[in-house]
Amino acid sequence: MSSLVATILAVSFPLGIAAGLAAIGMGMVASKAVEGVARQPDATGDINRMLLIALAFIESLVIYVLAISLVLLFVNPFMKFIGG
Amino acid sequence: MTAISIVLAIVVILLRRIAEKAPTSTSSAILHIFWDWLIEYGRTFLGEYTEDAMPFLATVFIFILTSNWTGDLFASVFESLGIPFRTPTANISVTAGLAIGMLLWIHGWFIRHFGMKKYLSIYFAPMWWMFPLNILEHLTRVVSLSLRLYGNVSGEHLVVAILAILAPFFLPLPMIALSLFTGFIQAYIFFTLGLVYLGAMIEEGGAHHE
Repeated sequence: MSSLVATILAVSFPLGIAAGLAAIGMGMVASKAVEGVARQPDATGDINRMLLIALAFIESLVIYVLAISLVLLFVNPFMKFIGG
Repeated sequence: MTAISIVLAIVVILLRRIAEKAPTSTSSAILHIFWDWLIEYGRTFLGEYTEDAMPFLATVFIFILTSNWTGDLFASVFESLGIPFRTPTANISVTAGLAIGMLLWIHGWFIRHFGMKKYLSIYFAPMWWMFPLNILEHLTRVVSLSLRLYGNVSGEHLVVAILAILAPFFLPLPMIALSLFTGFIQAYIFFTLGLVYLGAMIEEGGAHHE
């Protein structure tokens, strides 16, 4: 049972940390993009495109953590060593 | 996934007939507007090579978009009819296949248009000792493309499934609406990143040597 608890902790805490830090980064990107649009409304299309690409790159880091979490939850490769 | 491909192929053949037959009708005009928008959008990345490279990338875009939206909208319909259905893009094999195919196509396109010499020269682009880093860059692109699509779609479906367990009636609906939006954004991002990678490759290897 303790290995189950360890797995759940190992899945949930890194995901929370990654999501929080990525949210800070995304907030920075979005605020700069809004400032840019407010300063130069003509460049809205370009800024929008770059904003989406930057957000996708930041988001993919969280997705890596999510993928690791899903692996640990559903197809944990270490379970046979600890007998969970 | 196979079923979606077959249905898409039939639909596209029919649409192509519409687009060729009656250039003045409304449905044909909508198709042409969509195509012009794609070309206009791709031109900011690829410049003069847009019309040559767009058909493949647009196909990938439409396929991912259709897969995502079919999974969001019709998965429960198929399940209640007894047809087993899982969203194709919520499967790591499908997204990895798409990403590998996309990258192989990009490299092949570059070789076809600029030749082997320029293709090899981009691996030694700024300095010759950057070679391992360049190889690594191209490999991580495959991993990040496939994992991003897979993680987003399957994560969204997990959230919908958990909400459906908690409150089966109305709570999942806003999440499904959000999932439609995310599905569009992910297809768009995959398509845009294909454009960006190809554009960066042309910039590195092709354009400034001429």
